[in-house]
Parts: sequence; structure tokens; C-alpha cells
Amino acid sequence: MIYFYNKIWLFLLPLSVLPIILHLLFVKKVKKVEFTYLFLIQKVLNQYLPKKRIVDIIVVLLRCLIIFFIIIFLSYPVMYSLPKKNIINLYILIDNSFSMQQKIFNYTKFELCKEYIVKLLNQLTDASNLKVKIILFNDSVEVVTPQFVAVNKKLVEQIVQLKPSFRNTNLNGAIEYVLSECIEKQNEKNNLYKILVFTDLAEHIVQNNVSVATTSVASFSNNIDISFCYPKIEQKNCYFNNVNVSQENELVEIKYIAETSPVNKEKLVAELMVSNQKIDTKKIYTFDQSTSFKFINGTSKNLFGYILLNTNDVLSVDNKFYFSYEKNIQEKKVLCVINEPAYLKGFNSKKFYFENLSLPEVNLETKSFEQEKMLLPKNYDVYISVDLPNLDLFEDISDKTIIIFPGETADTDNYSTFLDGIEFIELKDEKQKLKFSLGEDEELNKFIEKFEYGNINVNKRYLITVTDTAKWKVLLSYTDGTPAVLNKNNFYVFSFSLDRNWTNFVYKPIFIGLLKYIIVKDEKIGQKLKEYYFVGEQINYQNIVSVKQIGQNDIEEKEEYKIVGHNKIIFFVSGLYEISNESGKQIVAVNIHPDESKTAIVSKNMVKKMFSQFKNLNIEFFDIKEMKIKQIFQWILGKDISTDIVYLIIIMFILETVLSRLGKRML
Amino acid sequence: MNYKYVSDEVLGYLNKMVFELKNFSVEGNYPGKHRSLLTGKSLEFVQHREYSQGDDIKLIDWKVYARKEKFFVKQYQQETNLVAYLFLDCSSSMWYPKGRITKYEYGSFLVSYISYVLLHQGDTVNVIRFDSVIKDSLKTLSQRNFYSQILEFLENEIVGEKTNYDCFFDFVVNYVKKRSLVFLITDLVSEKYTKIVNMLKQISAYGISLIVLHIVDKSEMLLDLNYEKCVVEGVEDKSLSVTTDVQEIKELYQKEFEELVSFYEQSLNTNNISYYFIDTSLPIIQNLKIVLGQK
Repeated sequence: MIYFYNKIWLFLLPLSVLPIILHLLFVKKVKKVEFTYLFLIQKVLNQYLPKKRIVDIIVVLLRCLIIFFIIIFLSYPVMYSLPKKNIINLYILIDNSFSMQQKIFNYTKFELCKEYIVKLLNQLTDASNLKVKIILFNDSVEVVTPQFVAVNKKLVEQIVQLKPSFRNTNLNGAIEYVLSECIEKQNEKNNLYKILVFTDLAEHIVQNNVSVATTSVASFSNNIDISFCYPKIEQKNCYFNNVNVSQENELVEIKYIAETSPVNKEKLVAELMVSNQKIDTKKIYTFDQSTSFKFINGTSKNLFGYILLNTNDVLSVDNKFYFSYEKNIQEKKVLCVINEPAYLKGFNSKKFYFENLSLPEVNLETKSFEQEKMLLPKNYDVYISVDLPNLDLFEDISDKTIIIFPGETADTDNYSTFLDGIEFIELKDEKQKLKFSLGEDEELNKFIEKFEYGNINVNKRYLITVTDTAKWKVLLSYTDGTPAVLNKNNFYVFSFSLDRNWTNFVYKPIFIGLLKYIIVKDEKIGQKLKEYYFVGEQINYQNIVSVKQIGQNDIEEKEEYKIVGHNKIIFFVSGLYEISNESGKQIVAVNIHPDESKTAIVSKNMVKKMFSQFKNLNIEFFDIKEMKIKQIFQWILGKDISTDIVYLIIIMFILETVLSRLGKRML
Repeated sequence: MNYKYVSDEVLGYLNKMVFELKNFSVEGNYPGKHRSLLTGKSLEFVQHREYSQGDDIKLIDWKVYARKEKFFVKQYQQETNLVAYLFLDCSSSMWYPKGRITKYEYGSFLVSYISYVLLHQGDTVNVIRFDSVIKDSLKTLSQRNFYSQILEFLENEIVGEKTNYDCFFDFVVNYVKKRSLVFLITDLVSEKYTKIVNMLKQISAYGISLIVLHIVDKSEMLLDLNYEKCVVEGVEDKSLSVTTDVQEIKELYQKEFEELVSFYEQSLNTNNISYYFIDTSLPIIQNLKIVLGQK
């Protein structure tokens, strides 16, 4: 049975006989000529005409057929591949993950897909042997219609009402779910299963998708057609790996690392836009290395704006990084002295590090701290004092917290992101008498200039020695009793152990946790607003009065943010927002979540590779942007014969040409 | 008076030309340049014959008597004039093509010049025009001053209808004496070509020397009709017509035409009938040379 999608073209079918009419008209209007040897012409024609007539008839018929099939082709015929009594069960999987909220042609991908599905279903209302099951998926699967249902208005309304989510995508999980169902039902007679997936094929960790196949659904006896409807995006996806904003006096520096998608790492152009002041927009080429913008800004002015990785990519929304930097004066400073980890070389004794350290008697107990199990002093308040005699100078600086820890200079960038107000100072060899990089606090800088690291008793290079342990508190110990963190007044010394479990203590999350703990405990530093938040993150904010997006006029409150109670706000769209409360106005930057930013588009080939082990799985791809509903229509209902018709037309055209042009010579 | 079918230039050339039938004896009324079947007074010796009673003694060859001691008489070939019949086809097909010299006109020129040559050498010329019937005829004596009568005769053109060679056959059989010469100037447009050949064979067998001049226009040879696709109508019978793509059948037609000419040539030549293919696109002198020289 054949179903025609564009029936209106069928009205042109009578045109198929046009060649016959033209042929007859052409014959009648030929010129009359007198001739003598007519009997010879007749003799020739008697031999030639029968063949010639056959060829003429064939040529005219071919012309008729060519027109006929062109009209048929234009009317989009769909041939049912199975008898009509067979039921086609169509799974429609709709991706509503966060990446589907990206806009194409002023509509989000999700809206585009919904519109597409609605149009498709409206066309399929006549298909009596079609049943549909709608499944919504992101990182989980939500079955919208528990059973297969016939296409009707109610189903269409259900699709219109589907909402997007802010969750990740798990395409594999969704398909696995459907395939499992198909396997269960594959023995049912007169049932054909087809899977139509509407997704942007965007996955966060592309590499993992290759290992999608599960053994449970690795084989099924019947052919299953699966089709992916996706917006074809050929450009690269770029994102910011790391962005830090810092200000020294009037000089602002925005450091960032831009990365392209995992596959392509190419040259990019970055643009800076600062919203609240005039500034020349600078373009800097980036090569996957740390790059920075530097510019002058008044010390009293706050900064907000964005950096854009300009790729002309439809995903460029992801490539915008918003920042807001509030200039505030720190009440207290924390000085971190970094002891370079050269001590690892050639030493295998833990005693090396605390060579002259006399260990205090302390009762330790195992406690959980920041999800790590550690031995902590039972009576936390009673610290054991140890002496670090030559550090007495620090005692005069009562408003400074000094932390000494073994670490790498490169780590400080990471720590500064989490720990505002900490100044990191690199401890160097005294013989080299190197100067230290200075922080932003003038008072502290003066102190550091005055401070001579030579006063710290460093017997060997990078060795810190505690001589009078009685004056030091042990805040934290390793499992064998070795002190991990020592404290004296405003000094904190993080020790190092070669213990198997704690060798890389500094690199463990607990290290950051401890730093945080120390700062919070001291309560000497004013809390500072973060430089940026993420979409979907709950932000604590007291007594919100109003929220306004900067640089956007058409604010639709319901789409862009949501206030939970009076104290929390969640943003759905990245950008700069001005939040007002009783204490004043605050500008905050909201960025796409780093995971979403690293979204990569899965290529067709990759999807095919993903499902390559399923032998009976026929995969097809349709570009949503092209809106070729007719093709999908054909794919759902049966065999798409349009290509066959095109081939047929070409063959007939060649035959017609050969017979009409070369036919005379052949005869 | 200026006549249509004559040219001084051609006549000047024809003055030097003599038409002579080879290996064929004619039976004329007057002495002429052609060999007679009879022996008689002439310079041309034929044979010796034993003397019989009644023979003229003057004819005895005494030299032979001296050798053989028997009387032999000399016999000589008698020479006589030729009685020629020029049959010109004046059917409608001979009036083809339009716009340039027609086959009829070309045929009339041929009649004119052949007559001139024959009259010039003292032969008797009869001109007969026919289509399906004998339309008219002109009998002349073997005198040169009769040439103007022939020209006047030709001046009076006749557009005939369909050709029927039966009338030609009947006329020849009934009125033309043996040992005469008959020119048939026609386009041979008839699908009954086998019948025509048989008819001509019979005439030849009757003892008449027959020369067939097959006049053809070049467009008839090549089927050059200036149209690719057209309805081709018979000139003689307009009720007959065929629709065809001329380009398509051209090659096949040319092949058929060649076969037809070849058929006439072979069939007639093997029966001592002279067949000449006259292409009207060639200068008439060229064709006359061939016909009168009988090469």
C-alpha cells in the first residue's frame, strides 16, 4: 500500500499523457512534400516502420512514465513495508537535558524538537496502525506515556507541555532502556518497533559514550530501526577551563585558560567586555595556554563583564564567561609559606622533615573530617605547644595568619580560587636571596619585606625545624602519631609524611578543608561574595527584593531565575544579574556549569560506533534544522521509496535518450 | 525564332558528332550511314559466295577463280539510313522538381540534340510523347530542315498524368518496324519495375534496338526534401502519402534507389538494351557524349 504525503501533486498526474498528446499534435502539423519515388519510400518504411513504431511507442511511454514518476516523487510516496495489519510501535525519545536549552533560530533546541514532533504527529493522525510511546530523558528516563497509544490530540498536548530540565544527558541509558523493552517484546507477532530519538547528541564526557553497549541488550533477533533527530552543528565547542580575576592596586588581571573541544585544539580569539566602564575590547589569541587580559581599573570600582571565546559557533553561549569582582578590603590576612617539595628527593625518613621536632604526648582518636578519616586530638582545645624559636617575629603580627605547608607553586592558583584573602609566599633558598611576589595588602607587604626567611631555622634547604615543641599545638596527626598540622598563635605548620596513605596530603581535598577551617575559625577575614556562580546552583542571599539581568531588556522571570523562599536564588540562564536586598545592590555573574561548558557534540560516526555491536540495529540520522518531516514520516510508516523513484527516473531518462537519439542508428 | 530546347553552343559541338549503332543492322528506306541487313552496292566487303545462275557476272572475283578454278562472287554490305523513335515521358512525375530544371525539360533537350545528330546524318526521326497514353507524335523525314519542326513540337509542352508503359509497348509493337532504333526517355517512376524490364526485353527481342535514358533528379537519388519530418505525397497519385522522418530513412532510401538503378542496369544490359543513367544535375553535353558515343 502506498500513502502519499503531498496528495495535491497527484492532481497533476493527467499531465503524464502529455507526451502522447504532443506526439499526436506534432504528427498532424508536419509539412506536405511532393515526391516521385514514393514506392521506394514505402518499401523502406515497410521494412523500417514496424521497428521504428515500436521504438517510438517505447520512447513516448518512457516520457509519460518519467513525468508520472516525477509527479509521484513530488507527492512523497510512502510504501508500507509490511502488511497494514502489522502495528508499528514507535518510541519517541526526547532529550530534555540542559544542553537542549541552547538556542537555535531564536528557539531552544528543546522547543524546536517539540515543534517538530507535534508537526510530525499531526501528519500521522491518519496512520491507524501506528502507536506511539513518549519517553523523556536526561540523566534519567521519564516515561510520559506508560503504554503505546494511538496518535491523538491529547498526546500532542502532552508533548506541548513537556518541560526542559537542567540535568545532564544520558543518551546511552535512555536507549538501553528502550532496547531492553524491545527485547522483551520481540517475540510478539505483527509488531514492529521503531525508535525515534530527539537529541542534540551532546554528551559531557564524549569518550565514555563509546563504551555504551551493555551485554544485556547485545542481541535481538528482529531488526530495530533507530533514528536520531538532531540539530546539525559542525562547529567546534569551546569552553573556559579556568578563570581568575585579581586586582593589584589599579591593575586588573583576568587570567584564563581557554580550551577547544577534546578533539580539536586550535587557535581561538578571546574578547573581553567590561560592562560598567569604558575599556578597549581586546582580542588575544589563545593556544590552550594560560592567557590574560590586563587593564587599569579604579581601586574603588567593582568589575563585571564577560570574556567570550569567539568561534562563530552556535554554542557560543557556552563560550561566554561572566565575572563580577567586588573590590573589598580584607580585615585579616593569611600568609601561606610554601615549602617547595624538593625535600622529596633523596630522603626516605619522615623524621627528616621534623628532624629536631620533639613530639608531644597526645591522645588521638579517629574522626571524620571532610569525608576523610584522620586521627585528631581528643581534646581539641588543649593543644600541645611546640617551639619554632626563630619565628618569634611573627608574634608581633597578631592580625596575620601564617600557614607554612609543603606544596608546589603551581597549586596556589587552585587554592586561591577557593580561599579568598590568602597570600601565598614561596619559600626559597636563603642563599639565593630571591624576592617574593607581593600580595595586595600594603601592610602585609611591608611586613614581608621586613621578614627574613633566614630567621627560620632551615638547616638544610627547605627544611623547617621546630625546636621547642612545647609551645606548639598539634592540630592534626598522622596515624602513626606524627603531627600533621602544628599551630602556635597565628602560625600553622603543615607537616609532611612519607606514610603510604598520606604522602600526598597536600593534594588531598582535606588540605583545602583544613585551610578553610583555619580561616573560618580565626574569623578574622570578612566574607566575600564569590566572583561567579553557576546555572542551577542554589545561592544564599538574604531578603531578596529584586533581580534584574544586566544587558537584557526582555526579562522573563520564570525562565531566567527562581527565588526559593527569600533567602535562596537559582539562576537558569547564564549572564550578569543585579540582586537588590535591604543592604544594597550586588552584581553577580552566572555561568554555564563547567560540566555543561565541556559539552561536546557526538558525531554521527561516534553514535554509529556506539551501536556497532548491535547487528540488527538500523541507524539513521535526520537534521532537525532542515525540518524534513517527510523523510521521518516515510521512515516511520515504511519504506522510503523516493530514492528508488529517483533511480528509476534516471534509468528511464537514459533509456529515453538512448532510444530517441541512437535508436535510428541502431535500426 | 528562338527555341527553348536548343543551344548554339551544344549544336556546334554536335556537328562533329556521329551516331552509329554498333553490331546492329538497320532497315532503312534510304541509303545512309548505318549497316543494312542486306548486301548490295557498297564499299564494305562482306564475303565470297559460289556463283549461281542469275548472279551478275560483274560480281565474279576473277582472282579467286584463278586460284580455285571455280566462280565466286563478292558480296558487299549495303548501308542504309536509320529510323529512330524518340519516346519522351511527359507524365506529371517528369515535371519534378519545382524551382529548377525538370526532368521533362532535361528530356526535351535530350530529344532535341539526339534528333539533331540523327537528322544531321540523314536518319529518320520520330518523336512521340506519352504518359498513360500516347499524347502526340511527330514523324519527320531524314532531312535537316525538319529539325525546326521537332523544336516547335517540343515547344508545345504537355503536362501529363500518371505513367503507363503499356501504351509505349503497344505503340512499339504495332507501329515500329524491326531494325529500328527506339529511345525511351523516362524517369522510370513505377513500382512495377520487373514488368517494365520484361516489356523492354520483349521489344528488344522483337528486333528493335532500344536505348533507355533513365532521367533522375539529384534530390530523387538522395531523398533531399529540405524537411526532416514531413508527409510525402505522390506526384502522380496524390492520394498516396506517407509520413516519415526523412533523416531517419535517408540512408535506407539511398540504398534502395541504388539497388533499383542497379537492377535496371543489369537487367537491361544483359538483354542488349542500352541503359543510361541521366543525372539532371550534370551538363547535358556530358550525358550526350555518353549516350551518342554509346560508351
